[in-house]
Formats: sequence, C-alpha cells, structure tokens
Amino acid sequence: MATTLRNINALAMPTWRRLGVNGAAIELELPTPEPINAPHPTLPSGIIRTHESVLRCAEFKSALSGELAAYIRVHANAGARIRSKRGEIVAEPVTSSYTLGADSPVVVDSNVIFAEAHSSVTLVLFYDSADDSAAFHAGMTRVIAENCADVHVVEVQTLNTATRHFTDFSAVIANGASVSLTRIELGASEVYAGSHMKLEGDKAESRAHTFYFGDGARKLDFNYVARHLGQHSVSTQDAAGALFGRCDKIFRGTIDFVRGASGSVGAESENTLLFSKSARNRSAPLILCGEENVEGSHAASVGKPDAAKLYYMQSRGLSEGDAKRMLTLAMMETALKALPDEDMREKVRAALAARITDNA
Amino acid sequence: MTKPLLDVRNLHVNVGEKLILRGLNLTVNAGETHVIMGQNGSGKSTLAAAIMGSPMFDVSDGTVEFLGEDITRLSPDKRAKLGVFLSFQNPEEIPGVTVENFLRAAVGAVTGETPRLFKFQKELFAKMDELGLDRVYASRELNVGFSGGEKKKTEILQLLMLNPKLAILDEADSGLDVDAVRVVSDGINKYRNADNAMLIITHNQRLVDDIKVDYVHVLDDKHITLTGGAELISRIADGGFAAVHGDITE
Repeated sequence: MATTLRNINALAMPTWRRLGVNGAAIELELPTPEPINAPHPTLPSGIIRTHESVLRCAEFKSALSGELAAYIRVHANAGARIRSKRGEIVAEPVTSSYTLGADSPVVVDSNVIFAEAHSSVTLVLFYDSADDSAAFHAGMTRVIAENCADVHVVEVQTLNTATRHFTDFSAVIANGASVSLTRIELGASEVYAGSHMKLEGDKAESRAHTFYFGDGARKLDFNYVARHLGQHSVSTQDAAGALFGRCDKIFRGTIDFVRGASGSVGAESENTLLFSKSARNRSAPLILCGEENVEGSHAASVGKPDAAKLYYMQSRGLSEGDAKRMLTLAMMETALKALPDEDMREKVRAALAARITDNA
Repeated sequence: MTKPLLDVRNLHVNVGEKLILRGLNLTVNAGETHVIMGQNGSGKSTLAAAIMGSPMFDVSDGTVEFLGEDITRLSPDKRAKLGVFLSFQNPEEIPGVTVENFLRAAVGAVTGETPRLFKFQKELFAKMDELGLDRVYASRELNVGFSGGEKKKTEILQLLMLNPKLAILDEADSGLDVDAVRVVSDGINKYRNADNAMLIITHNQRLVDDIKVDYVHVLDDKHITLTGGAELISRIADGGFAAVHGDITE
C-alpha cells in the first residue's frame, strides 16, 4: 500500500510556502525487502565488525526523514557495521557495492561507523544497476567520531533511471574529530539525499561535498545540515553539478550555529551548470545564528557554461558537445579525489561520460 | 598556382553596434611569417579572434578563406580541425582538466584519432623539456594558478603539439621576461617550416628579434594602412608609429 511521506528533506527552518523549498511530500510504496546476497565487506587490519547498539550513546537526527530512517532501521537487508580501533589509522577503505535489478529489486542498507579516538576509517558505498528494471534503494549511514577521529564516507550511485534512491547520513562529531561525506549522484529517477552533521565537540570538523548530474525528467532533492554546538567547530558544504533536459533539482543547505558554538565557521557553496532552459534549479541556503561570535558564508554560481571557456576549448578542435562534456567531467574531479582507487574513478568517469553522451 | 593559406577579404567586424574592423584585407601564404603591429585598441586581437571564429565578435561583411574554403561562418572547432590555431593573449583557466588530458583530447579532435597514451606522453614531455616547462605541469589543471609566463609557454606547447597550418600568436610575449621571450621565440622557430605560416600580433620588437619576418602590417583606423618588410619593425621600435606615417599612401 502506498504511503505518503511528508516533510522529506524538510528545511531546518521553514520559509514562505510559495517558494516551494520547505520540503517534499511523496507517495511511496515502502517495500518489505527480501534478503539479498551481499557479502560483508572485507575488513582491513584495524577495523572490526560492530553492532547497531554502539550508537546508543549518541543522538542522531535524520535530515532526510525520520519516518524513512525508522523504516531503514527495521527493514535493512544489508549494511556495513564497522569500528576502527583507538589510534588505528587505516588508509585502506572498506567497500560495499550493491547491484540492483530484477534479482535484487530492493536494497535497504543500514551502515554504522564507530571511530574510536584518534583512529581513521574510510567507507565507500557503490550503488549500481544490473539492468533497466525498476528498483528501490534506501540507505542510511550513521557515524560516531570520537575525539580526534577521522572518518571519510564516499557514496557513489550510478543507478538506472527507473530506480528510486533515498540516502541519509548523520554523524556525531566529538572534540577535534573530522567527518567527511562525498556523494556522487549520477542516476536514479528520483534522488532524495540528506545529511546531518552534528559538530558536538570543540574544533570538530565536517565536510560534505556533492556532485550531481541531472537529465530527463529526473528529480534531485538534497537537504544538508551542519549543526554547530562545539566551539571553534568548522563545517563546509560544497555542491556542484550539471543539469540537462527537464531535470528538477533543489539543494537545501543549512548551517546552524547553536548558542555556545563560539568561534565556529561554516561555509556553503554551490556551482551549477545549466545545459538546458527547461531544467529547474533551486537553492535554499540557510544560516541560523544562535551565537554571535561565528562566521557563516554562502556562495552560489548558477548559469550556462562560460562562453569564453567554451570558445577557448573549441579553438583547440573540441566540438561544443565535447567541451561541455569535458567541463562537466571536470566538475566531478574534485569529488572523485575522495575515491581511493583509480579503477573506481575511471568507472565513474565512464558512467558520467556515457550519460552526458546520451544528452549531447 | 597554389591557393593562399589565409585570404581575408573586405573584413568588417563589430562588437555590438561598434565597428572594430572595416574592410580589412590580408593574404598569408605557406612558408610566410607576417607581423601585425598597431597601437592599443587598433583591432589586432579582434582580427585574430575573427579569424579563429570567436562568438564574441560579429563579422558583418567580408570573408575569411582558408586554403580556398570560405570559413567565415564555421565554428572555431571546425577551423581548428582545418589547421587554424590561436595562441591567446589571456588563456582561459580550465579547472579540473589537466594539461595532458586537455592536449590529448585536442590532438585527438584535430587528427580524428586519440593518440596512444605512452607515445603521446613521450612527445609531450619532450616538447615540455624544449620549452623549459617542468613535466609536473602536465598533471596540473590547465592554466589554473599558472604565472603569465607559464601560460604563454603552455600556449606554445599546444602549438607544437597540435602542429597547425596557420598559427596566430596574439601578444605571445606580453608579460614575459627576456629569458622567457627567448624560450617562446625558440618554440616558434621550432614550429616554423615551409608548409605552415604564422601571423604574429605584437606591440614590440623583442619577440621577433630572432624570427625571420617576411611582412609587417600596420593596423590603424580599423584596417591595414601599411605593409612592408621586416625593417618596419625597427623603425616603429625607434620612432613609434609616427615614424612610418609618411609611408602610408591611402
């Protein structure tokens, strides 16, 4: 039975309803997933398996939807639950790959990272389609970063355009700890992505970097929150992407300085290339200040590709389509740097190049 | 009789309502090096951009022919594929695209075949060595954070890698110190042969000191008012454009 989910990706502080940026309401059949054949990822030395129970010591908030988060918790049929041991600096990533399709039409993954003090861990999540069949993905990653821990999460999805994709991320970050989330969203009929970074400790840091590609009549909906509680905490939210066709994209970015977060700095920026007059782009930046001694900034650049750059590239023999393709791929390079493996990067480049070619 | 490489006839170029070039004529044959001189704002860079097909300028009358083909309405990439190259006065920065990847794509676009990686790298590094460009720059984002001299050397690197039939060099020496000018002029001399041609736009003598020049044109009042030999360069360098005003016959 279809359920109506209200307040998906709800803006932290609602604004005029007529702007249409407060949140989304969608009709959704929340499927009961079957078990899937997803092997537990290989764990490098210094990383051990853990349980959801380790999260009890922290309070998480979903930027995507509390209702969906509850559904994922109950119905997860996949997920990596990992713990990095105190002082272990682990460069080798933990990688979980999911291929959706006729054989695995529903993937619901719940991932847990518990980074003990002074440890470092990287989790890479890949979502791809095996075929053209409609599928459903809902995923959630929750992170606890203890004092001076360093956590990197990279999510890459190259799903087919018949698949719905929901992804949620929330982190609780202690003194001197750092959490980065990199998302590369290339496919899916609808993308709903949330991120909530709770900078609880002093000098805590969070970085959320997103690259998106939109085409056809696809819908991309993002809601990112950085909530500063600790003093001298630092957050950045960067989003960049290219929109083709009649794609409808919205990016909500909130920096919330809570009283007491003195000396904290938050910055958000967005850079969108519009390749179509029919594409719709909306940005909803929000900076909430409950503390006076803070610094929040927002920058946005939305428009057609720079004519002077296109001319320069064409003067070297590249067609307009090739030049646009190259500029779009170039925008993704910053996000791709977060992927630890060149083979993975090449795979993602090829996936994007193919999607741009379809729109050239 | 062989067709000229470049034949510009009665060229009129506008930016919006403003006429920048009026009735300009210029013929360049293979094996020739032409220098265009003129005061600031005389339209030298506009001429270069119009030949390359810049969308920022409007050719309101006249034609540009390349090897007998009318290219007046062709897009810049099609002109590049025919063999036209412009070294930009202010090269664009392309974040996220390395020098190597950009040049490999450009060579592939111009030749119709993407060069094999290792062979391409070998050639690229050899040319970078010749120009005194550190090989590290191959993996740097194109022109991003480059000094003025590095940008100009990278333009010459592109010239040498793409090996066009006609090279238009727009102020290739501006902002360069004496040593860098020599490196650039050495690069230009390496490019030059009997089958190609150059159109050098410059303000001063330094760049062309070591280059054999066949013709010098003075651009003034929206068109070429005087054409002479290489001796014009030193006369202008010594006495300014006033020194050659008496030679203008029209």
